[in-house]
Amino acid sequence: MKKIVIPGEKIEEKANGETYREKKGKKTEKRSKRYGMLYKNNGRGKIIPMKTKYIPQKRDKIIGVVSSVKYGGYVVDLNSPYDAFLSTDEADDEYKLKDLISIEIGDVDEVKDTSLRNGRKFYGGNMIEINPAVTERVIGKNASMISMIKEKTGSKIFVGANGRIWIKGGDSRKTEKAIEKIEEQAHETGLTEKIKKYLEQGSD
Amino acid sequence: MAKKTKKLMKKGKRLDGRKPDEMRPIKIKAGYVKRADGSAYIEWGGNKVVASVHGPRTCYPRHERSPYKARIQFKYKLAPFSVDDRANPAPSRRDKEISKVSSEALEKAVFTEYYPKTTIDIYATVIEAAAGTRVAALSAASVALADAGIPMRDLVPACATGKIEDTVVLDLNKDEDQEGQADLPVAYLPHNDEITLMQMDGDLTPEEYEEALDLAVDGCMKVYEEQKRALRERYEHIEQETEEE
Repeated sequence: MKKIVIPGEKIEEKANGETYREKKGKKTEKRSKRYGMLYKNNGRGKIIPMKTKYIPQKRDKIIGVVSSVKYGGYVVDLNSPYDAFLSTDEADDEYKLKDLISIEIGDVDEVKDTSLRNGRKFYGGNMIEINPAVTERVIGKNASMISMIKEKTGSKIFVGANGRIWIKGGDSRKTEKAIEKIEEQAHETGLTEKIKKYLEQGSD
Repeated sequence: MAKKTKKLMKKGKRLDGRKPDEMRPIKIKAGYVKRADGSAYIEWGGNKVVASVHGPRTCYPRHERSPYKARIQFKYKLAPFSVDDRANPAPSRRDKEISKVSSEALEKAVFTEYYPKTTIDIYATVIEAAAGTRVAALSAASVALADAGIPMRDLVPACATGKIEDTVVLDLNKDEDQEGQADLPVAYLPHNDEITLMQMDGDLTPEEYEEALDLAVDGCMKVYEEQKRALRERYEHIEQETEEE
């Protein structure tokens, strides 16, 4: 079962993430801090926000865009309010402005200063951007969704945790469309089946 | 010679037919501007306001950045065609004041500490003005913030009360605002019972002030219900689909 929740709304279930506790008299109440969808399952709840901005987290694998070339490295746009610096020691090649690279987030401190490592350049292909809150849906449980799309379209796909997706080869137009569909219908159930049907028949 | 005042009440009712504790019709639509991270449109009586939220994004100029929290930057703007006489497009003293008090009213509700060194920009543009634009802009901005996925403690509804012909009334219209004796806009956090904005124009006795404040809180609760309805309506189709399945 699922339900739309609004910031400040009381949550009865044991919900993980996206909640805060507020003292009301002697009691403490658990409330949602996001506008999102609350999924309930066996008394447990999970709130998935409708929209989010990507905030760097250690060990996330993301897709960055080189936004500035400096003497000792590159300033990388992370599709987030925060930029980060990638040292040339961590880069696999010489990058140019607007190059797409896959990177891993190193350390993130309390003011969100972020170190990057393992820069790898993407050669060719396209990049699309989706809402970072739904990247989990694009990958699916045990990567079921992404493997299915790869198999049906023959495209190479890399999903960055920051909502950027790189697609190369195969029927890339169809892959893009399928991912857009996932983004639109992220809160629906039986999505893998719907996307499978779309990829096989070209319609819902 | 004493100034001749306009008659604002007739047989216990206001000129537009409302009772003293009645609000003008209000309608909010969440997700109105496609290019914004979050947005809302409000129609409240004769007021029409579009609020859009951009961010959190990197804060410029750098000296405005805080390593502890995000900066909430509210920009209130009256469109030149929104009032009877042309409004000067340059930010006026009034625009700056409303922007300042509104950002402070919203800051209380937002978990700004989650986004250090960033700014959350809110642009509220009044397309048509008919008294009470600051509360309309603030109520719409609060919906737009939630729509942008920004973590918040609560929504921030706002409503104004005032005094006309020695009667405390809710939600002043244009004539009442101009000819009335007092105006008291209030923004309120319903869950915490906390007031985040209060301004007053004119004179109220302590008793009238208490009455006006209670009425304003009641008004805020009505706005709050409309804000929640607007947010629920936006993704209602998804919720319904599951129930069908």
